[in-house]
Amino acid sequence: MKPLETALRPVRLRMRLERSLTWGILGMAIGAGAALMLRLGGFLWPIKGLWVLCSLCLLASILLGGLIGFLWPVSIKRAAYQVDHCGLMARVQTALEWEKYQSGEEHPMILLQHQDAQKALEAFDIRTALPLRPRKSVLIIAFGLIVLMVGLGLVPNPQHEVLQSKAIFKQEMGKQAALVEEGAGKLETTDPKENQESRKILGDLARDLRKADSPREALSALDQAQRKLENLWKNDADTLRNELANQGKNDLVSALEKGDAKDTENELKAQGAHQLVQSLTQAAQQTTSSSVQQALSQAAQAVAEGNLSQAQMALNSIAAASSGSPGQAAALIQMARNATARAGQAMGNAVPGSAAQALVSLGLQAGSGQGSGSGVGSTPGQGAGGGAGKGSTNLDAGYQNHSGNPPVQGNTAPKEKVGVYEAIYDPTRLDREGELTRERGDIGDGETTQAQLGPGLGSVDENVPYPQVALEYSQSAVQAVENAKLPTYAQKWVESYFASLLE
Amino acid sequence: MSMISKEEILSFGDKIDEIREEIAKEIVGQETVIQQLLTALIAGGNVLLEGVPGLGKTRLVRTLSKVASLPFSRIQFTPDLMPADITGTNIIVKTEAGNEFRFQPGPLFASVILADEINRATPKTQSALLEAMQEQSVTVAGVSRPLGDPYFVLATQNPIEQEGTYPLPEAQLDRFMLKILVEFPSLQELGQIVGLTTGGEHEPVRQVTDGETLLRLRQIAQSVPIAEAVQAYALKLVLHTHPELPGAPEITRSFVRYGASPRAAQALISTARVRALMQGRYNVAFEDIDAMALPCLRHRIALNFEGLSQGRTVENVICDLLQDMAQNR
Repeated sequence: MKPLETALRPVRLRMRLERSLTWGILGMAIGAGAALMLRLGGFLWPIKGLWVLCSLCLLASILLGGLIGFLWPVSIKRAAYQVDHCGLMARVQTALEWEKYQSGEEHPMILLQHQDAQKALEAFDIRTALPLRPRKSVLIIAFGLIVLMVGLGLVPNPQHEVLQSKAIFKQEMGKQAALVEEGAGKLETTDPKENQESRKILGDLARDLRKADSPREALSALDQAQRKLENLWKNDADTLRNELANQGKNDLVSALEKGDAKDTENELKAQGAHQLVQSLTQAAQQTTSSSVQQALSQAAQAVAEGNLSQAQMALNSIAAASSGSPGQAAALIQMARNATARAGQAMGNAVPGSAAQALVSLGLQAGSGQGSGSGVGSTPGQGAGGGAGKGSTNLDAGYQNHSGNPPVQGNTAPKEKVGVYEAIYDPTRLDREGELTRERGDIGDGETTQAQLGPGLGSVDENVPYPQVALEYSQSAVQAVENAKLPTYAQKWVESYFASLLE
Repeated sequence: MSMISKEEILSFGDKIDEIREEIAKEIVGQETVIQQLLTALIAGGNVLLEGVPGLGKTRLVRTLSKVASLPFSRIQFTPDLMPADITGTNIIVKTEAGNEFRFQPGPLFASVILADEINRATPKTQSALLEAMQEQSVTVAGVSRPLGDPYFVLATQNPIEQEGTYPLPEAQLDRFMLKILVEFPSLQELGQIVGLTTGGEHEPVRQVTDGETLLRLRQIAQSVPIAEAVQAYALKLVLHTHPELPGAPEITRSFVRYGASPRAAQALISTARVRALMQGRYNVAFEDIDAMALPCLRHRIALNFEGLSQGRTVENVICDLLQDMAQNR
């Protein structure tokens, strides 16, 4: 007996095709449903490339359904059942079952039955019996969903503006990242190690800016970069002050801490030139920091040449860094910050507290640390001290406190608490409880700090008038600037900026 | 019996057609009745014919016996008919050796038995048929005597005039393979009947087969293969007539008092095999089961009070069951 499997092969192929079509259309219906959901979701959340996503979803569902339908095997039994159902009256099923009992000497009835089944299969018109006809109901549903999806695409979507502004923001961040990278390439500081570190920090910043999807992320990256840079500078500034303090030049240290060029110059004048050159040279020899050593050597040379103003500049270039003095890197960060704030404002409500964040960037060191310590050491100027550090940032009042008894070395200021300033006019927290944040203190900074961010000023239903917001920001900024150890020209710049906002 | 040849199988249809043609000489119309009758004859079962008087039931059976050249007996069942009247009895016969008892066979000792108006006889006489129908033997005075083969009992009953009748008990009904309803002929058929019977002489019926051939046809039919799915379908149909069984359909649970016996399943498969061959097929199809469901099951299912009160008939319950099952084939 000739096996029926061969005769059933075209039937199985046809069934797979038919199933592929059916499942493909089912996939289309499911895909259209999913695409419709996506489109509806697009009204609630900004989804980038919605049309492409919807089309992909639809196409993938059709392909997946069709492919699975085609690849899923059709058993020979199933094929036999199918053809029998199409008018072959159980001929093939019976023949297939009896094929199993082949022994070589078949009963004539079985032989006749098998022949009859094969004959019927040969005469079986697959195209007529198994037409590739999709199920109308599913097709109608699928097309209905597609039409609905396309129709929804024509309805104005408020999220489009958000997406557009996001794209603009992203573009702006890309530009800023490029500028930061360019600036980092041109960065030149006296210390090659510091130069390398600064470039690395700026490189990371550029990468983070490119990645940033929101002003919040961008500002966070900027804060992080600034903190890293400040830590870099602060070490040098502290080293310089310590070296000068070790040489007994406490008045000069105080003048440098104030950041006032005139005071510094006066202090330099008050010192005897010879002694000053000696002290500066000695300090330069003792220090391990190459940038401090270079600054001290330059200052000593300038004093020796009688050029006190150049000496003051050399010392201030290091000392002022601890108070956020705008060096090349700082200027780059500030520029990026301003651009981010502008882009954030352009995004409307997408930039919570961006202006405030900009303010805080200026008032980072506004908190003043207090500490006292006593030390015993064999060499003058070296010792360990213990004391309590306490301080608060300008805009943190009422939200955050530092306390603790960490071992501190000399005077130190508390670290900036990121994000606390966002308590002001943050639309994401309006009418909400606010966020609880914890921040672990570092050595010299106090213990773990817990801060409860307030619910944000105003409420969802209430519009806070611009003059009120601007005024409060302005007051906070002015207060922060006054408390900060900023150069006078920078203070004036901030004050004039906020004054212009109120005009 | 010898092995069936291919030629015999191929000539099965021709033989049936030949018989059918000969019967058609005497019986006008009634194709379905004739087909079912032949199906039961070949499948080796007995038939209960139900129809009003004058529809040619007796004539049909007589013609069948003529065509097949089989010994024919007709028993008119009446209330005073005794079992011995049909089975036969021992009578005293004078011989040279003296008086001796000799068995005088009754009308049951034939191959084709027409039990006319079977429901008019008492249950005692009706039950005398039981052994003959099922065992194909008759026991008289403790001696069991085999009946011939083929042995075919055709009982008729009148659906009207039920007064003074003794409805057949379920056990006896179950022994009939098929219950065939003889319908009233159409106008055209009636005209032909009148023309045939009141006119001049007509072509006599020829003997086209014999008992041995019929047995051979039965053997051929028994070899028809059946697919597992088709057999399962037939068995499921029988099971679905039982309201007490789990999975019984709603219609059965609502309207059926008791369902068909395993004999019904046997009858379904046997007759479906014959029908398939008659249709020129060498396998049993679902359609064969469907076609044989009514004659096989209608006398084996009893409706409950609710079914009767709602005017349901066994036939429409079976049709509903088939419809229900066809969807889940």
